[in-house]
Amino acid sequence: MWASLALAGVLLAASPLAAAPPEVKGLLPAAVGRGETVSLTVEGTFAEWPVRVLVDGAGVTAEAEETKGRVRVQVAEDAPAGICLLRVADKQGLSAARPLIIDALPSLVEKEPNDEAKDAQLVERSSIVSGQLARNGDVDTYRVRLDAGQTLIASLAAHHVLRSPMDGVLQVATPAGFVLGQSDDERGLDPLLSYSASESGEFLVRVFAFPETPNSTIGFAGGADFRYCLTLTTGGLLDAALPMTATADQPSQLELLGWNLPEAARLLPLPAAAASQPAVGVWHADVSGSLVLPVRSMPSLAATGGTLAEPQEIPLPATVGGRLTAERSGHAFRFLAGKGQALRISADSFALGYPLDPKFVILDESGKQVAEADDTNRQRDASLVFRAPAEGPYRVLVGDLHGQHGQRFVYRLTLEPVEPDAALTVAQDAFSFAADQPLEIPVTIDRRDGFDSELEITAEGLPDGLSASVEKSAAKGDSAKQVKLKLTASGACEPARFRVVARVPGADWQREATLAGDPLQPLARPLWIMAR
Amino acid sequence: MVAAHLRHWLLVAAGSIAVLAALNCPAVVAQEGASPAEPAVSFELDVLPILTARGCNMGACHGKARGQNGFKLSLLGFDPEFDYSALTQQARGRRVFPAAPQHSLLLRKATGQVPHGGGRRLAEDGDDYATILRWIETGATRRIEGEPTLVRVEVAPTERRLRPGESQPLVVTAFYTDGSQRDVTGRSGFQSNESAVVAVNDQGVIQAGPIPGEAAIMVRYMSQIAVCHVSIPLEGEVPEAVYAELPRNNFVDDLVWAKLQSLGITPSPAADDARFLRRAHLDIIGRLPTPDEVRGFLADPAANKREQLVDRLLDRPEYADHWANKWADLLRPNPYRVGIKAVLNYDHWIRDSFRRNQPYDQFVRELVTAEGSTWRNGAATLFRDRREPEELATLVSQLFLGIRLECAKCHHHPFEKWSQEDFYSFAGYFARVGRKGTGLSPPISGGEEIVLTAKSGSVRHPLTGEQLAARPLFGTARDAAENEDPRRPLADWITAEDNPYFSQVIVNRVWAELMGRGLVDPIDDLRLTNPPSNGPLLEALAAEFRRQGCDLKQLIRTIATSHVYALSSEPNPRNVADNRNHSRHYRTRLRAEVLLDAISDITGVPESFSAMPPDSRANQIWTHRVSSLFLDTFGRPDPNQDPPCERTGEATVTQTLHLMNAPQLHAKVTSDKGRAAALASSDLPVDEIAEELYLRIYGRLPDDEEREVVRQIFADPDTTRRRATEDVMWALLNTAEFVFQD
Repeated sequence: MWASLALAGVLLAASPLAAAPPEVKGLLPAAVGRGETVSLTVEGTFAEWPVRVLVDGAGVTAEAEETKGRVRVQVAEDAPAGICLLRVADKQGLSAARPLIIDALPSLVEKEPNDEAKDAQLVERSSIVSGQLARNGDVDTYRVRLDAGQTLIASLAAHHVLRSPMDGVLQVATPAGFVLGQSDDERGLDPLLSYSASESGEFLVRVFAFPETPNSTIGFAGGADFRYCLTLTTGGLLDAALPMTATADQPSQLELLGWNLPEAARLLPLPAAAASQPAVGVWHADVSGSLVLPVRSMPSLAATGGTLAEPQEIPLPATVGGRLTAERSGHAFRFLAGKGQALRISADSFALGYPLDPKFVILDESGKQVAEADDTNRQRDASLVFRAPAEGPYRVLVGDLHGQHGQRFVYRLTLEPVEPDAALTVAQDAFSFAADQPLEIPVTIDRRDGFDSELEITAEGLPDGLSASVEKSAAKGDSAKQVKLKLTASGACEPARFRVVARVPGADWQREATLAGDPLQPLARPLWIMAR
Repeated sequence: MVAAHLRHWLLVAAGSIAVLAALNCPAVVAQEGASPAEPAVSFELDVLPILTARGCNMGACHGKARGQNGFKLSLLGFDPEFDYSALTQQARGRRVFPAAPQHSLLLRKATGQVPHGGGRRLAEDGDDYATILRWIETGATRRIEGEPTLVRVEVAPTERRLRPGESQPLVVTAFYTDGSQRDVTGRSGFQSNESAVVAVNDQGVIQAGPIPGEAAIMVRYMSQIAVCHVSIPLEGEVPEAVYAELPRNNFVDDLVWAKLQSLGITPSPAADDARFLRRAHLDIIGRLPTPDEVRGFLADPAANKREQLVDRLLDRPEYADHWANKWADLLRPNPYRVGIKAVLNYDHWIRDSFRRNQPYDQFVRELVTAEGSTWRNGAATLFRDRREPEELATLVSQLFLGIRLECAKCHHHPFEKWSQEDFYSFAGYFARVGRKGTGLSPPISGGEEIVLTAKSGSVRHPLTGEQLAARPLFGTARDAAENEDPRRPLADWITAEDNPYFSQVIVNRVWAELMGRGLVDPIDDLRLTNPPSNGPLLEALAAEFRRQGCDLKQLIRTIATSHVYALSSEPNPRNVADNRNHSRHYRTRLRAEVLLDAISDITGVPESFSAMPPDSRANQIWTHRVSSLFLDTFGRPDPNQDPPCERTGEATVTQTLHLMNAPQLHAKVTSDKGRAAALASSDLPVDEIAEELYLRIYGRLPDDEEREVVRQIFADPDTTRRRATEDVMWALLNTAEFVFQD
């Protein structure tokens, strides 16, 4: 996914004074259309200017402009829609990356004042608007024109992708301010609403917010970090793709789901993805939005609406993507398990940004319920380890806890053998250090299902002049959960991507560290390093 | 002495009544082993009615929650088991003393032989004393073998028209499971709901007062209730032709005229077009007509322009906010209790229902069975706010059935048939409301909570501890299927076609909003002992509401297009005292939000509210916590008060002073950006400024006298054109014609 590295041709200048590495707090606009070249504002702290602009994203290049805080971003016509990462570097170090949304729609930037209806900013065509609720009480108002029968989709990306500390609310209203529709939480804390106009005319779209952490203030919240991207479109908007995974090394066809999708965009061929690729981006040139599907080394199936009486047969292991379209409905699947076979069965939806609150039950051949799963680890999605009490067929029935259904009630069911495994995380996606002072990178190891192998953990792909220790993580003791890699430099080096890798000596087992709590997962975020 | 309690016994055999010679009759129920001449005394049928009739178990005496001086009886004898235990087992059994019955504390206290705070309640030579004594002498048993139970009571007559000053004795008859009946008039309680119109004494004699009107006389014997409806028509004859010639737009008019005719009341004439226009605007969309709308309506020659107006108003976007705001009072909780986000979403859910004109039965069904996140499904917030089955039972029964069950939570309802078992069985429908997520943590309570169907849950009778199966208050409801939320069969039962309470309480609520007073008042208190002022009309409206698919807009249309709705509020000599039968329009003060929005529209200076987008109206505010001195002054509910909150439309001195002196109001009137400033700086002649102000504020043109007054104000050499405009605007805002809907 991360195909290119765009390095601005700005040389690092020597400075007599040590300063903090640059910090990027936000981008405005935070979304750019395919084929566009925009001058965006990089909000943050920069000891010097110009800086190097580093981009992880195919078809996207960027360079600092003369004006401090301004960066020119160029998105190729054929650049894939999705999320690219932008960070800056100077001689002191690297900033953390900020997401930049690449979309099929043209970009627009909010203009104040736009709180009142009379000042509403006109959005003449489907666009993705980058804005900011800059102060407490701020309301951003946009004006759109709809023909009778047209469906407007308004979708806010703020808390989830941009990590804005806001809980946004969207309203569609008449020009006089009478609310016609409102959305609060649809994708996590971010709102999304559709409104079909019964009459032609102008309509208002309002954005306002409360703080992500609820308080007792009866008032709208705002601040410099309350950034958002608002998609306003009467065209197609991509929301989901079935099945919800891609099978490694196999081409497949996806059924795209969303609003206003043209017929030609309902099915999308997906080229084979390598097993080493954690995820693939899904987008369509004719619709707004993009998705990221994990790549799994198991069959990816689409649910066919099996019932308990006529369940859908599935192999083991497998993932199944489905959508509940009828009230109090569920989908049933039948699988064969050996006696004592341990399977991890998961139904995911809520964490993926959909409203479905999954639960499932497992029935044996006689129809007796042998297992049930609802919330797991205090999260809405359901998961359990099922140990088959006897060899034979079992049925798993997946549904919504509340029996609800609808366009966005999609889920991903995964049945896979329980195998000892481990996951590695690091706390930052960018590391910079002085060449004369070694760098320690703490690596957290999450050992699951009895994973007791000793690991060798090191950094790979380092630029010339950098070397890393190989740390052992024993099955037990302190090193079982965390090790600290030590990196040394023979001198200053340019920013470069690298990987933190764990291996089991003598075995074909390898894992790469990811950023802890990365909201963009399963997108693999590259790690960067430099020495000064 | 023959048992006095037998004097009133009647026996019923095969449908014919055989009145026995009371003094010589054998015991109705003979206790095994007892002499035929010594009839057994029933605790439940003989003793308890005496305690009730003598006031021993009233709320002020031993019937109150904590009893009196250590002796507690169930309120009005509604719980015989408890009372029997209290008399025979508690206090080490000294209240009844079978070894020396005359020395039983029960008798010695009641007769004043030992000090008794309640005074002397029984005479030693009286029948009641003899009955209780005999009961103790024969073993003070709880039940007699084969003892019947009380089924119902009837009062005769059930309806009566009286002339002023006339009286009428009532006869109360109790009916039992074995087919027997007795005259229990002497041991019944009586109460009038309009004692100034019709009074009733302890002996059950009703007495018409001097003023015409109606009253319901409630008769209570033990746990049973009966009602006698009494009317006192206005004296003097009204020719039938007067009623026959009254305009009739729909069945509402037929039924109101019929009621007025029965009382000899004649209706006021129809209101003029301007009043009707203002009334319909304020009632249906909660805002004043603009001058252009007034001029257009007055000039419209169409015969059906009033119906057309009602239809147009029902299509306006203001309709949803105005009517949703009324429901918000009933449902929307304090955000400091349940969280800001939960309330925001609840408010949105209510408003969205009205925007979509969701059929009312679906609205209720969605609310009663709400599941999911309080952050996504606003209706689920009801179950975040009300957490116990008992709380939900009282709220749901009151709002959607007009049945007030609160009393039955602690004891048998004193004015109704509801027992504690009825209450807790009904509450059982909410026993499996489960929750996950973050519960309440005031004063922020900001967490997300998910309402779900729990796998188990039950409600127990607070006294017996018995686990009660969910049961409707009356009629039958299907059982919940396996794994089905019991709230679903409850919603089916509540909204069922044959549940009269459901449709009657909502049509009564809407009627009250439009007509100034409910057919039943209070509007959510439907019971036998609080009868509607026009029962046939209530039933007809409910039937029409059902026929129209529980469509609230159609209901409003039906009422607002009736001739009755369009009556003038000016009384005539034959309806001046009527305040129940809608013989004229009843004026009401504008709701706080409507009044504030009207002032903003009139002055041209919008109000700004926290937590609301600019351009928002007071009718759109999502919580009463949004601060507004004006709204508080004009009676919006206290944000700390738990819903449902019914507003009172009373006018207060504070409101008058606020309109006269509030700096915010003054600022609106005198704003440089306001309407007064714009009118003053225009080149409009004074007469047209006067017209503009009268049209905006009163929805009518000024008459000649009013025009002259305005001219004089403008002609004052000590004033300016701007100040004169502001003075006239201020003066009109401070009149009843503006503040009241007429």
